[in-house]
Amino acid sequence: MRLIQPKQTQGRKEAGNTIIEFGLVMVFLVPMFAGAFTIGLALAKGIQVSNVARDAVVLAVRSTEDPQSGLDLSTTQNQRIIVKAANGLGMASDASFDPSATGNAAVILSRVVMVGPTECSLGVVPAPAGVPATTPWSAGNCPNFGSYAFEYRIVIGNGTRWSSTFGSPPSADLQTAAQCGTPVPANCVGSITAKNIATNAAVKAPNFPTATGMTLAPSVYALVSEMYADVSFLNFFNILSNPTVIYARSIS
Amino acid sequence: MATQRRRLGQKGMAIALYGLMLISVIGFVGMAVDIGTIYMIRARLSAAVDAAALAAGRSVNLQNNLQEAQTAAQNTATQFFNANFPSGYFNSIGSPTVTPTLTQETDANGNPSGVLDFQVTATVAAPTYFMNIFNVHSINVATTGTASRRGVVMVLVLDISSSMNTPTTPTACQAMAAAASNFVTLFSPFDYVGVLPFDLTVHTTNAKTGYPPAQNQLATLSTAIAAIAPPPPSTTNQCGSNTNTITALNQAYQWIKSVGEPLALNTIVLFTDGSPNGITANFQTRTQLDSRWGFALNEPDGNGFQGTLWTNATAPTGTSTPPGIANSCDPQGSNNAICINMPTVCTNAADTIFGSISQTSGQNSYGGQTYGMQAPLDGVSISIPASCQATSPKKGSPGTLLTGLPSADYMRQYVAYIPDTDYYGNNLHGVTATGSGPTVANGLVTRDNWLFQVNNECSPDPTVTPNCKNVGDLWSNYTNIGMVSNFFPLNNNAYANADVYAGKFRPDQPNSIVAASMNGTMDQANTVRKDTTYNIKINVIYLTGNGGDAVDREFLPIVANAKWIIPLPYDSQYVADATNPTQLYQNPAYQTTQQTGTYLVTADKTQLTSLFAQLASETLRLSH
Repeated sequence: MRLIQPKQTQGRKEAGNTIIEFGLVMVFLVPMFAGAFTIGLALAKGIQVSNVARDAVVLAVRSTEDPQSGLDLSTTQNQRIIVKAANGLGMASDASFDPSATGNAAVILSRVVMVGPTECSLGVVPAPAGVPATTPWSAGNCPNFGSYAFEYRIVIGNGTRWSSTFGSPPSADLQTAAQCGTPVPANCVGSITAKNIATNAAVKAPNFPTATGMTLAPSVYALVSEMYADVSFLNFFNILSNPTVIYARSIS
Repeated sequence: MATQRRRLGQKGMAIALYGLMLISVIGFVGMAVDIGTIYMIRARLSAAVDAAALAAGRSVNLQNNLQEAQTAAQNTATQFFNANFPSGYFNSIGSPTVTPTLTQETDANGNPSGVLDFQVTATVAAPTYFMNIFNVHSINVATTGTASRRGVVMVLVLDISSSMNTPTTPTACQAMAAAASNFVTLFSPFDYVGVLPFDLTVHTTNAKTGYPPAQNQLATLSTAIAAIAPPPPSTTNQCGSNTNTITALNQAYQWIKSVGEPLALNTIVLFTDGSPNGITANFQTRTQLDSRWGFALNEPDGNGFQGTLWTNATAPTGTSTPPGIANSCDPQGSNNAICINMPTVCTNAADTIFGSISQTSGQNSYGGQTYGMQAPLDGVSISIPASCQATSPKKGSPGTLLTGLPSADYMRQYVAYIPDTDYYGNNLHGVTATGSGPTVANGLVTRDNWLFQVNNECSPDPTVTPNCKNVGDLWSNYTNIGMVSNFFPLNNNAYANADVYAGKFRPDQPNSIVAASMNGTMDQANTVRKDTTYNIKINVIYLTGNGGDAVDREFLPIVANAKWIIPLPYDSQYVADATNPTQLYQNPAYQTTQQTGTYLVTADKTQLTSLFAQLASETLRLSH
């Protein structure tokens, strides 16, 4: 029995050590795992947002360059492609992946052009006498010549919460289905008329070069997709900085 | 004691073990952070090269030559890459290395296939945080993006017929030349672009501004097109003669096939100001005297124009001739007249005459002078059989003595009728109908029964000039005009001996020639579009209002295979903003399995620059 006593004494002394040690270790481990978990999820969401922006701009390129592809991104059924890609980001309003106007994410698609001879030919009709055969296009005969101008804007998702980093054209200048006629031509909804592109100062996009760091040659356009996603639901321990909104942009 | 020592020896082991585990865990977490960083950078890098490659794909447009296009593609790729992958993104180290390349795909024979490939490769150093401990300070991340651009093989088919010479300057011919000259500069030098002007003859040679599609000739084309009709005050121009649209479309088709790029965007752009009026065929010769519209070219007795074998005719019962026009063989050949016993020179009815005939001036619905034979193409001769080269001398126009072979311009007098099928195999009675309407008969959309110079309609827009045009109607609604048909009648005294051609298109009536030409053009367009190897798209720009010809709402939309037809400026549904029409019409011959082309129409020649730009924009997706 004596031999056992010290053992019992020692066992009593050590009782709870494991828990204490476990607790001590967990002081380090829990934040580490929590941080890794949160940051990992945020990274994953960041990559997803980036990928959605990338996919959206590829769809927009396809839609622009091949209108007969049927990829008119102003229609809900085509917008579902983007909303599905953003699954888990709170962009859908229902099980059909219809975009939610009050959700946690938005994709903003824009086409910006440096107004050049082509846009002036399209928008200044009839062309002034001798233009362009003997007199070139200029800001004098085509007011937006040499300026960046919006050609197209579609917002998918919560467009009231977020806006583009390089501005927005007046909504009154974006063509609606009613203005596009019947049947509605592909890619008409959300577009700006050739006349407005060439002559309406309100559709200019002066912030485009500073916001994107790009300069475009005359009559060259850029398609831009921007995505915002609020991932505050991942911010378990306030590890992420506020505001917990991920922004990604793809330009093509 | 031993147990005690062992227990004493185990003291702190848990901490040590946790410490060891912590090192492992920290290592794994660190690795996860580093790999996450790399993955994040790689994802962005991948998106950037994709976007750059796509942008490079369209940057080859608007360049003057291949070298400029290549440079533009590379610069654009780099610019768009930088916009998508800012320097220092996610703490990446240094500036990314971007390598854009452009290659033309080739087919099995080493020839360009019509596809340009743009490849953008980028490399950047991703930072490490935990692997730094092991002296790994960065990891290179590389990715490649590829995009393809369908090349364009485009033949610009330009109507340079006489009606383009409008009275006020700049003429329609000048406006067209300026707009089309600008149009070709919008393409890429990698594209195969050609120009094919046409009147009654289709001009395939450089001397006549004909250029087969080739790469890297945009500047040459632009200059040549501008020279068709330099702007005012120049009065020089090449516009004249008639409108052989069928041969033009056929030749454009042959050119596209000769380039041989089935993967390219094969396109014909047709500009025209009106109805076609040229038929190219092997025409059966007329070997017996008969009665028909026209003037007597050859007096059989050799004594003047009013020979003894033919007589004046009276107006056929129930029909009328134009006011003031007598029924007689017209020696001047410039007015409407029925010539009884029209002379012949051909002796073998089995022979045929090859060439093109057309109307002379207006779409005369009463019958009258026609024109031809003419060569359908530069370098192609008309063919007159020996059996039609019999006697000499022969008289042409007054005072002109023709020796030996009659003047080719008068050979139409010896044509029996217009055949049902032209030289290219086109059905001169129309194309298969897929819808309904007044122009549909016997399963075809046809102008067989169409009378052009009636049914004057005026535009609701007072700025449209001229404000009113004939839009045509069925012959059956106009029972007292001419012979009330485009075909030779059966048992009609006015056409004695011509009744053997009953049911055949008349070569002596401009209205008939236009009807057959429109039918043949629609069928030629259908032939072009149904080629499933080249999948050719036909885009059309229609300038209405020139000359006195009627306008036709659905003819050119059918040529383009436009699904919906916008109203003409003379239509009651017309609104000035053609992009926002209030009513569209269905195309009664729309083919769902064929390429849908763009159809643009205007009555205002000053809008041509805009319409050509619109077409380029839609063809190349330049901006709009």
